[in-house]
Amino acid sequence: MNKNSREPVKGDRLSQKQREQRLALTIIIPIFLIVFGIVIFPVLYNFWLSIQEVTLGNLAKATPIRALKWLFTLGRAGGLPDFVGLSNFIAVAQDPRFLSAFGTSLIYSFSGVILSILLGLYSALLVHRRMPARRVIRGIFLLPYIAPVVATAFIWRWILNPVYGVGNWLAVQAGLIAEPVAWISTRGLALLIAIVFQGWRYFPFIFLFILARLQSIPEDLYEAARVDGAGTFQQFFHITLPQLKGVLATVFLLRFMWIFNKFDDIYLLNKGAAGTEVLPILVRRYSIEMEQFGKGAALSIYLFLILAVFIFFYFRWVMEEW
Amino acid sequence: MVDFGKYGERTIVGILVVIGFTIFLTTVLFPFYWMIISSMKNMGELFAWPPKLIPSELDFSAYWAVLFQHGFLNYMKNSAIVTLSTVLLTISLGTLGAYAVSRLYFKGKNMMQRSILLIYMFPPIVLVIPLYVLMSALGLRDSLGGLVLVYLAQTLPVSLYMLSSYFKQLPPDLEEAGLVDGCNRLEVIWRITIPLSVPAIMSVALYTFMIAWNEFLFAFMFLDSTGKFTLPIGMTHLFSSYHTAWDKVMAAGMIITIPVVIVFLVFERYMIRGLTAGSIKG
Repeated sequence: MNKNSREPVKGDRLSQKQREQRLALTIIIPIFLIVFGIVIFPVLYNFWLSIQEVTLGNLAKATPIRALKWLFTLGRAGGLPDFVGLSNFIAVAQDPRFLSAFGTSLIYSFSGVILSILLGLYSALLVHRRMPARRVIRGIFLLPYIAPVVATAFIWRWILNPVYGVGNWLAVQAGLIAEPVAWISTRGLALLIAIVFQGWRYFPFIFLFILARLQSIPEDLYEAARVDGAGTFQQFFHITLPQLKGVLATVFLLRFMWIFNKFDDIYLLNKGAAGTEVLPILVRRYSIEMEQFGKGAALSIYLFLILAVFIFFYFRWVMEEW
Repeated sequence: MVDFGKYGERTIVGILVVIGFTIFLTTVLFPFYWMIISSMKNMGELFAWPPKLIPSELDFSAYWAVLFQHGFLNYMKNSAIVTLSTVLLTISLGTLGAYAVSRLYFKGKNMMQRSILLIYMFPPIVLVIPLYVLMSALGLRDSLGGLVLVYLAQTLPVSLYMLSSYFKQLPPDLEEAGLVDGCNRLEVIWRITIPLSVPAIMSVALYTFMIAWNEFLFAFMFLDSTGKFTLPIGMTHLFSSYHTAWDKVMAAGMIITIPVVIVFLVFERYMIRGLTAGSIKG
């Protein structure tokens, strides 16, 4: 029991503080190493790759040791086996596929996010009311977001199958189309499906955010409006919507960022065929299919820059205005 | 604004509610219903035209084929290994790290706190090419261990953020009492902080489970040998080898989806907290 009765001496306390700092560092250093190794270093390594000609043939030369040497000496130690300057960036910018993928990415991201926000708002308003089985319905609405993307993408492909798809049959029965359509391999339709799929899969995310926000709008506001004779729609446009502005702006930013970078959904639906080639799909195509890792790295840097510019202006124009 | 009158407006709202519930419930539930019955239809009914909305008999042969002939038992094992390791490492490293961030002092702490979420913002598609080259050079690419490392870098920043903000809300008195009673910091974390933080730790664990179990991009890019495939890659592999085996593809979809749905039903409360606070990237 020596420890407890010990007088708190100044020097002792200091060593206690040092002990704690040592403990903190032993905890933090492994975490830092993982995050550095898997996130920060690859980002820097990407720059190193992007100014070289890296193909499958000389992949072995692109060692992290060389990259580290180059980074730590700020390029003076050499370490660029096949230096090509900015030619990867120029080649990407001149590739007509880049511009078309950029356009597709913009259309896909904007319309998909807006669709999922509208659906998320609608569903949140539906569930934000006193009703039986509210929790069950909330759980059901979350399903598309919780289910693995591979499973949902393949369900959609099966439903939209041009020969046996039940979706085609239903659409024919409803008189929407005259005969079965090859939805995901027809130009135009494929992008539309990708956007609808995105709206379907991600509305629950927005639904959750809006639902949480709706629950915190003070009831007095509505009561006061009702006393003044405001109807349901007036209450929605004059109270609910203004109160949701902040959430909507945040959710738009998050979803836009993620969907702009998203590879899985479109790749699983139709591998970026029939006019759905977005930038993330092109990154993989350059690197894995065309085996030009330098070009892939350059494109992913473009992707990152485009997003950074978007975020900058979004904060300037939207977040501050609102 | 158009004036519908009091009763007119009420009717319109009523119609919107009925239409809304009908559309949302059918469009959400029907695809899952279709997966379930397609996985259990026999060949004749699977490709029947017009499609059979209710199968006349249930046939589980697709599950048997997928599990025992197409290697899904092994994919399940791989997915379970990757997911469990990611979850356990994330909550243990995350809890310790978050404790250090919220209660201990160390150099660079402020910078670290500020950069945690910034790191989380780096999109996977930007990381995947350099990581592909990096992991190839290190011989870690086609391995489950390498995959766990990549997932940890995705989950740790969020878990640090979520847990440290939770720990900061806990009253420090109890911990100080523990320290005075002669516990060291690790004992305090184990006996006081962790028992008080079960809900937050559960949320992080479930969030991590969802990421690791569902992840597609990195697994798809990194894993080459079928023996190491996780379930999502196993499913795309199955589809690319048997383009028309829709009963098997749907059975595979069920095998991937069921664990997630069960976990969701059991832990709904924690899950929703994790979904909103951490916001699964994707």
